[in-house]
Amino acid sequence: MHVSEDVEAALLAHPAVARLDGVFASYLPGRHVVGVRVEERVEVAVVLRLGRPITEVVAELRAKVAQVAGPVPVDVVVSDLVDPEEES
Amino acid sequence: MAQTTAVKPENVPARLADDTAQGRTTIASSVVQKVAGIAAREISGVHALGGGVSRAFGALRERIPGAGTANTAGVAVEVGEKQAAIDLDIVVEYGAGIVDLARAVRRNVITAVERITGLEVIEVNIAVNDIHLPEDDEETESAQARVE
Repeated sequence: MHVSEDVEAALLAHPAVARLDGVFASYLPGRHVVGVRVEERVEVAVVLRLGRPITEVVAELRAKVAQVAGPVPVDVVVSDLVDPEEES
Repeated sequence: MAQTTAVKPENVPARLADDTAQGRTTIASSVVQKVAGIAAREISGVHALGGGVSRAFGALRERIPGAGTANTAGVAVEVGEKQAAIDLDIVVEYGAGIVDLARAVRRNVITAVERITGLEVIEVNIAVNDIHLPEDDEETESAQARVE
């Protein structure tokens, strides 16, 4: 499994993450992982659920990504918020 | 001679502190916009957002370095690296004290945006565009029945 897929799984496992956002992607054989780019830095773009302070959530996400991607800088883009009640 | 170092004010949000080592955090302006819009609508007495041309919008541009602009549905925001400025166009319910209402909206928006995004809100400009009357909902009745 490619690192980007591990990063994707780690992010989606967090309750405050609604989805990843497609401003960029990792292109793999057979699929691409939207919202994750792993190079010398890791970049992720997330859509969060409304409610908790973004800074707290981002710190947790950064820690989770570091567990799977190692000690590299993690750039987090919060590209949108969704209301948990409006999600279907 | 010692170098002059800038003293950090106590109340600056502790955001972006270790950004170079651990990575940057970018918060899209639509995120700030949504938070501000929701916070404004929470106050009772606010009938709707928007409704007028966002006239004050252009005046704020370029005030914050590196700012992006976004504007939908009566909420215009400018988001810099550490600060945000917000313009609101609101329609109030008839009967609400506009000065008090605006103060409440401003307070709620600042609290919500600072808590959720960690950005310092430098200003919230509120334009009251219209007053919503209870009769507006049932306008067919008021038009007739004056002369038979």
